Formats: sequence, C-alpha cells, structure tokens
Amino acid sequence: MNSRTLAAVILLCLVLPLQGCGITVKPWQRGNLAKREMAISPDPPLRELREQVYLSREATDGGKGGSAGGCGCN
Amino acid sequence: MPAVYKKAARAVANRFGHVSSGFSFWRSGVACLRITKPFGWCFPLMLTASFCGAADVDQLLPECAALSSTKPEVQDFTGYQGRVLLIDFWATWCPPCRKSMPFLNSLRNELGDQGFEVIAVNLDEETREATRYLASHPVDYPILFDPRGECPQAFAVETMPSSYFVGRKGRIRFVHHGYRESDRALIREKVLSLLEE
Amino acid sequence: MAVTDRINNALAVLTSAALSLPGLSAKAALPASNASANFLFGDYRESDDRMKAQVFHADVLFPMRERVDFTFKANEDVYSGATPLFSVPNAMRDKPKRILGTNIYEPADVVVSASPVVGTFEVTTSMHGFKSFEDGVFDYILNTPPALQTVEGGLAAGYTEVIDEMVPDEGDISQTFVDHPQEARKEGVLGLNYYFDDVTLAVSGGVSDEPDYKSSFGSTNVSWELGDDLTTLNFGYGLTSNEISRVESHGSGGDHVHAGDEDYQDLDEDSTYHSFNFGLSRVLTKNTLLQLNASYTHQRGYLTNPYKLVYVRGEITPDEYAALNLQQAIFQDVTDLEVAGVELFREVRPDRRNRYAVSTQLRHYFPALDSSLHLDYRYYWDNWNIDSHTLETSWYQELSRGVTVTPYVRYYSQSEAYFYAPYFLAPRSDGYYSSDYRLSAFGALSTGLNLRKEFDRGFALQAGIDYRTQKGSLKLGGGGIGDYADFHSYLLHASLELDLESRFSSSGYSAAGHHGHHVKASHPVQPPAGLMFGQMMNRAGDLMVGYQYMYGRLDGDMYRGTRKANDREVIDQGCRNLGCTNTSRQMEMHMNMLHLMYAPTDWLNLAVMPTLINKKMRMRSLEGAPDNDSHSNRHDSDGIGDTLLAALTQLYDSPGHHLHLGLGLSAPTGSINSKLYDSELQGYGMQLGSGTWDFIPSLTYTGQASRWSWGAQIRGTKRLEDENGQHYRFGDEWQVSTWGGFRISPWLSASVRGIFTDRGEIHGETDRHNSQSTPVDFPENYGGQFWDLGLGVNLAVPDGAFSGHGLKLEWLEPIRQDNNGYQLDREGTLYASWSYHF
Repeated sequence: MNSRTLAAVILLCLVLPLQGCGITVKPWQRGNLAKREMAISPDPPLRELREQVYLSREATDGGKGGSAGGCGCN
Repeated sequence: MPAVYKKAARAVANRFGHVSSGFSFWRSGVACLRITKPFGWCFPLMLTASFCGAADVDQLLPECAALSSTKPEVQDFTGYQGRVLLIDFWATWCPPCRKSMPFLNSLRNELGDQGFEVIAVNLDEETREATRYLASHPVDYPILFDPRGECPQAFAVETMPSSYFVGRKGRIRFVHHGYRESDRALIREKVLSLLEE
Repeated sequence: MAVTDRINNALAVLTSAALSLPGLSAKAALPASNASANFLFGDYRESDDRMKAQVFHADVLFPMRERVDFTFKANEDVYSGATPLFSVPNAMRDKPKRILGTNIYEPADVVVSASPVVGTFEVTTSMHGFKSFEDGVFDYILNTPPALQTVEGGLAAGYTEVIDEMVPDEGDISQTFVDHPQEARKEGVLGLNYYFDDVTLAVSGGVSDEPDYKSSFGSTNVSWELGDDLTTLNFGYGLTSNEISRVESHGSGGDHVHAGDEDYQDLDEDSTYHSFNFGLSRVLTKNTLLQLNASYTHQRGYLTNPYKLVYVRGEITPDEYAALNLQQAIFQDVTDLEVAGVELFREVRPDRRNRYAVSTQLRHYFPALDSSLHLDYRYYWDNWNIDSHTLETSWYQELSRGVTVTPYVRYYSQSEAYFYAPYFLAPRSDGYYSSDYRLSAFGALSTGLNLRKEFDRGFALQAGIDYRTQKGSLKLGGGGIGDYADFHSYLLHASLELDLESRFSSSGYSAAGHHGHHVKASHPVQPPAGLMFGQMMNRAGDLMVGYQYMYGRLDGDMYRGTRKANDREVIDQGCRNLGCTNTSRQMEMHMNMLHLMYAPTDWLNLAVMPTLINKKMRMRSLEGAPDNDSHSNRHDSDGIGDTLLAALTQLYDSPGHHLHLGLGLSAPTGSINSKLYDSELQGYGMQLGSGTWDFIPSLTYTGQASRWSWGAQIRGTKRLEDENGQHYRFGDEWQVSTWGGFRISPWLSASVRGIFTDRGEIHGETDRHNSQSTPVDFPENYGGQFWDLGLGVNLAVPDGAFSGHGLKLEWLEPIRQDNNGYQLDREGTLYASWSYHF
C-alpha cells in the first residue's frame, strides 16, 4: 500500500477504537488527567529542543502551531 | 411509599441510565435521573442530560457517605442545624481549590462564633495525597474524605471547586462555582447575610 | 510551542470555573496558578565531527489577575562543525593532477569547490592541471608557458576529455564536507494568554537572529471549550517572515580567496510562511485524553539552502568552457545557475511550498502502575512530493520520592523531494536541483531516557540523554538513499524548573519542611549588582537561584597608558615592529551567568555559576597603514565561558556588621580556540575563557544602620597554572570595591560604589597561528589599572507571594584607565540581575 493509505489506516486504528466510550467523566474525577505527566506536553522546553533537532535534520514541519524561529540549519 | 414500588421505580430508572446514589424519595420527591447511554457513537453525538434536582437551591441537604478524619460514617449534616454551613468540595489537583483554602480558613475563624462553619469534602482518589497536602497546609475546619465520589454525586457537583451555602434551617441557599480572588467579597457577603437570618 | 501546550494542558484537563452569577455554571480554562521559570541546557553532537551545538534556554511565566498570563522565552544556540556540501560518485575523485611547476602528479578531485564562489578564471583553469586535459590540449614543458596544441576540437576537446573522465559510475557516492565556523543564534519570544469564560486567546510574537538568517514571527490561537468540558477546539494562525543572506567566508580554509564575486550579487532574499492549524481534544475517560490536529503551512520566497551545491553534468558544455576560458563569454551567458566550481552549481529549490500534516496524540494513565503512556502519530505531505510518518511514544513512570523516569522512542521515515538527486547526469527542465540529504528518502530512529526529580521546595531537576540514528535503510518500505549519508547523534540535556512563589505557599504559611514558621524577610543588606560573592545566606537549607547579565563596551579612540594614541603611533608601536594595519573600533561583551547557591549550614554557602558569553569586535583600518588583505571586519565569539565554583564562609555576623570570606575556583570551560572565518585565532580578549584553573579569593565586609548601608570588598584572581593549552596565561588580577547605600523605601535602595582594578599583563604568547596585524593580537596590549564609579539600584520584595525575589541594576562608569600597551577606550559596564532566595 502506498504511504497515504498507510497513514490513513494508522490514524483510523488509533482513533476509532476510542470512540465507543459512552463514559462520562465527572468534574471531580479529573485528578488523573490533571497530572503533569498526562499533559499533551509535560515538558515544553525539552520538546522544543527535540523538535529543533528534528527540524534541522528532517524535511517535515511540526504538526502543531509553531514558533518558527530561525534555522540554525546549515 | 411501599418498598416494592421503590424497587420497581429504581429498576425502570436503571434501564435508561445511571441513577445517582444518595437520593431519597422522601426528601426530593422526584427520581434523580441522568441519561448517560450513548446515542450511536459517543462522540460527537453523546448526550448527557441531567434532570437532577437533588442539590439545588432551596433543597434540603442530601446525605452521602464520606469519611471524617476520625470515623467513617454517613454524613447527613443534621448535627449542624442552626448554624450556617459552607460545604466545600475540593481536591489537591485543583489549583483554585488550594487557593481558596486560606481564605475560607480565615473567614471561618473570624465568623465562627457567630455560628459559621466550613466543612470541606476532599475528593482525591488517593486520600493520602490529601493528608500529605494538609500536613504542610493545615486548616482549622473539619475535612471529610470521599475518594469514591459519593457526596459530589449526591450533590450533582458541576465544577471544581463547588461551595454549597447552607442556611440555619438546613436548606441550600446558594451554590458557588469555582474560585477566583475576586470572589472573596461576594462569599463573605453571602455568609454574613445568611448569618443574619 | 510552549504557549499552545500550556493552553492544551489547562483546557483539556482541568475543569475550573469563572464565577459569573450565583448558580450559573460558567466554565473556563484556568490561568497557571503560580509564577514559574525554566532553565534548560542541551548539548548536541553528531558523529564524524559533523555539527555540534549547545543550546541554552530560559523561560518565565507570570500569571496576573487571574485572567492573564504573560510568558517570555529566550534561547541561544551556539553551533559549529561540518556539513555536507555536495555529493558525487567516488569514481570522480582522486584523478592525477599536476602540481604546477613540476612533473609530479598527485591525486585530486576533479569536482572541487573553493569558497567563496570562484570566478571564471578559477573554474576553467582548475581543469588544466589534469593529465587528460594536458594530453589533449596543452604541450607542457617544464618551466615554459603552456602552448596550445592544434588538436581536433581545440580547447573544447581538452575540456571534453576532463569531463568524460568524470562520467559517474553507478557505484559508491561520497559527500564533500564544509566546515562552518562557530556561530550563535539568539531568539526571544513574548506571549500573552487571556482567559475568557469558555474561550482562551493566546497571542505571541518573537524574533530569531543569526548571522545569515533573521526571522520575525507571531501567532495567535483560540481555544474553545465545549459542553461538559470534555471537548476543546483549537484554531491557530501563525505568520513568519525571514531574511536570508549568506556568510561569504563559510568553508574557506587556508588562504583568502579573492572571489569572483563580481560575477554574482550578495544574497539578500526573504521568505514568508503562513500556517494554520486546527485541533480537537477530547477527554475519553478519567484516565484518557485524545487529541487530533491538522495543519497547513504555505511557504513562499527563498526556500533554498544558500550553501549547498549540486553536481550537474551538461549544464555547461565543453564548447562553453572553452568560450569562458577565452573570455568570450561570462557565466551568466551560459547558465542560469550560479557556478561554484567545475560542474558544480548552487542548488535551487522551488519558491513555493504547501505543507500539510495530520496528527493524533493519545495520553493514557494506568492507575495500577502509576504511569502514563504517550502515543503520537503524524502523517505529513507537501507539494515537493515529500511525505513522512512520525511515531513517538513515551512512558512516564513515577517512582517514589518524586522521581519520574521516562523512556522515549521515535521512529521517522520520509520520502524524497521530486527535484532531489545525489548528483545530476543531465540538466532538469524545471531548473530545480538539490542534493541536500535532508530532502532525500531515509528513516531515523531515536531513543531517549529522562530522569526527573521533584523537590518539596518547589523546584525540579531533570537530566536525560537521547540517541538518534539516521539511515537510508531505515526508510519505511525501503528505497532510501545509500548509507553514505548515514550519521548518528547524541543529545544530552539538563534542566531546572522553579516555582517562583514557592516561598509563600498558597496557604499563607511558609514552605513545608524545616521552616515551620512564618517567614518574613529581614531586610538584609544588598550589595550592588556588579559585586561578585557579595551576599550570603545565613540559614541552613536555603537555596538561591539567580541570573546575571553583564554588558561591557569599549569604543572610540586608542589609548596607551593614560593618554590617547593616534593612528600613526598605533601602526608603528602597537604591533611590535610589524606595523599594524587595523585596529579595533568597538568591542562589546555580553555575559549571561546563572547563579545556583545552597547553604548546607548557617555559616557556609556553596555556589556554582556557569556562564554563556557573546563577544563582538569591529575593526577599522588605520590611517596610513598599508592595505591589508580581506580580513573579515567582523570578529565574533560565542559560547560557554569559564565556570565558577565558590564556597562562602561567614567569619562574623551581627545585626550591624557582617564579614565573610569567599574561596572561588574558576574552571576553564571557556574556549581559548575561538577563530576567525579564515581559521586564524582571534585576539586574546576575544577568547571565551582563560584556559587555566584560577583561584579567586575574596573578603567582603558589609555594614548597616537604619536606612544606611555600606561595605568593602577585596578580591583577587590568581592563575593556578603557569600556562594554558596554548602556552600563555592571563595576568593575575585584584580588585578593591567600597560602596555606600541608602534605602529609599522598603522595596527600593540605591548605591554608589568606587572600584579599583589591577589587571596583570599576559605572560607568554599563543603558539597557534594567529593574525599579527592588530594590537589585540599581541599580549603586551592587555592589562592595566582601572578606576570606575558604580551607580546602582536594588529592588527587593519584602513579603507577599513574591517575597525572596530581588532585582538589581548597576552602571559602572570608567573614571580613569592606565593601560598596558595600546587598548581601546572603555565606555562602561552594565550589570542587571535577578535572584530568588527560597
């Protein structure tokens, strides 16, 4: 299969099974979600450092809104 | 109401969704029903409707099971009749909850002799997180621990923190959602007005 | 981006409330609860002496008034090393070429680029030494000028012979590397978040600056919480505007090459990016969060790499080479591409790029294990025909005592751009070419491990290491480029996260643990900003984190001793007998220092102070001096400076008087190898460190009575080694300071200080190749005696949420200087510092 089909399959595989939830989360049950480790990005400076390394050696742009600072690419 | 009807009513209610615990036919007079089963896919077609009226303004306090720091027991808050109560639902992972505690503590100490008490119900799923926090940030008012979330369920709590202001006759008079520094004056004013009754 | 992540964190996770009316449940996201700061250091090294970089990051978050957050972030990257310039088959290397003036042949690459870009003459004649050219065209007799033979085809035939020798095999390919001198990139970003009821607005903007690339960017993001706070929508837009130039001397080694820069103009281009993104976050269970994102970026303008080259066969024909040699044509007549060498041209990429990405992030908490799983997948594609898959996963495992260990794995695979090839056997009709391995097809695998410890006092330390390997063979589905472009790298990182309000915890009581009593600042005496080792903490267990910025400037006339020296005198005497050609006209030094101090006992403080330094010097030619060859006019050096380790011991302490002894050690972590682009060593004053271990003792006295304060310090610097790695050492120094201060209000005080500094001369001389044409290159032009006057203000927060913080500012104005040799006039020094004592 080509790249795009593969991508679509992976995305669907990761997303679909999680749709049939049917559970509601009460406001007082959000303690685990509030943990630092459960954030989308628990450590923004480290993530930015890693993204900077990847950006300067790969051809892909970050998927989420970025601070497009400089190149440092060479 | 005969027990058999109560049982049947509960069975029917359960068929359509989760019935919140702690309700009492006698007190509220109406079944508190929450529809939570999904219509098709839960997202985005999820429908959550609440017909609960168990802990609204002018209702009597629901009863629920919570641990006090001294003994486990079902709290019905009847021991506080004649006093103005502020029942505060909080957790250590909720920053505005933590910020509100020193203020509630000082308010309670100031107005305590006029008959004002604060009862904080902690909702951490791991109670030891709360006891650890309280060891370094102690308060003077009583704390109840409800890791299983039965009290907020009974009260139909919608936000964290939530404060329920109870008048001297034992009825809920006011519900305050959340906490910001700017709420302090309002909270104080409400407590004073309830104390004057 | 940090701001977006913080929003996602606050919104997607916490239910909080803004109060509007009684009983109404208006919900919104929360601003951060406490002010906080982060410091991060990263060290990146690639295999085979390729690039290495050091990254310094600091950011701060200030919540204000419960609806607003301010953020500020600063980054500096210092990088140097080799990167691939172009690639050709190995068969084209090592052909016999005559050493001019002899009968000896040595192997040389036919395809060679000199840098900066060469002119017509260099390109055509560089082919002439090859045996095949000579056999075909020139009659070579030793020591006589070559004579043109009459050969069928003539001159063009000679070129044909050489180019035919370059017929690439389908064999191994190899890359030619170019060395980049050390450069620094600096970036600053400001951000603001505003929290409405269901909506949060984030706005940010910043600039990034490096010698050949300047970028300004801004973005805005709106987050909207729906319904039961389980779903959040995100919309963002960002705009980036870049200015691109080329640092001409990149990659030149050895002698200056006088470029045929008349052939091409200096690079001065720009590009603009617009990016849009849309995201959706959903809380699935009380332990699961899912996010979906889609983004689109449109890039327009100069998107080419200004340094990379491509080999294109057939772009210039042998007849055209012949015409160039006979000066019947110039480069622009025969090709649109910029010529950089024999069959070598600068790469050209399209000026438009549309980039798309869709991604998903899953976060799941396992209560039984007390750990979280992160799983991210992204699919990317663009109109350059590149598409890629990225799969990242981390496992955050919480252990006891606030320790978290996090392994990390990332797999990446990309396809190649439609105009990419390692080399080109024929010109492309669209005129786009790139051999940049970053646009080729390959895969990369990264693994990392992180360790983090959170301390009760409101700070956390973290360190970790990542390893990344990039290989053509790792491409998903195969078809990646050969292994000649493979490399790997290590990334080491360490960071400090600090809660800036930890001293005043939210309950109004002092921080946990050993304090146990209400902390009130005791209005300690605050010495001026520029004084080192001036302050001690007198309570066991206390910590202090601080940052100091120093700016020093020299400008204007040259001085010898105490009087001005004119250009003639500098030429004759400033460079021994050699005659100076240039001198400095301006020098600036920026030093950033991080203070970390801990009091293990009431009378002892231990401190570590790493530094990051930027030095810039601008030269001018001296009137009456002979013309010098093209030295770059810009001298810069950037990087880590020497690191200070210190122990401060209290000798006497009473309410009105205090005396302490400082024992400092300076570790030579600062480079003494800073070079100019043409690889000559820079002057002594431009180096980043002393190169030696140095002992720095000090004795400080402070006194205080009601609103007045005063003090004195004597401090010395004694080099502990006779010479550093280059057989010289800086002179010893000592400095005496006295000051007086007045407290204007509980928060604010002012000071006046007198400073005398004696700086010894440099002993010995560097043994490396350095230039010898300006006074800064000679050791006898260093040192002297200096008198300064300092004026300062101190701001200290006595109580409240921000107690323990202090800000200081001091300006040192030079009163008198008595230089050794010839030095530039001193303009002054500025010190600005922040500290947090908790």
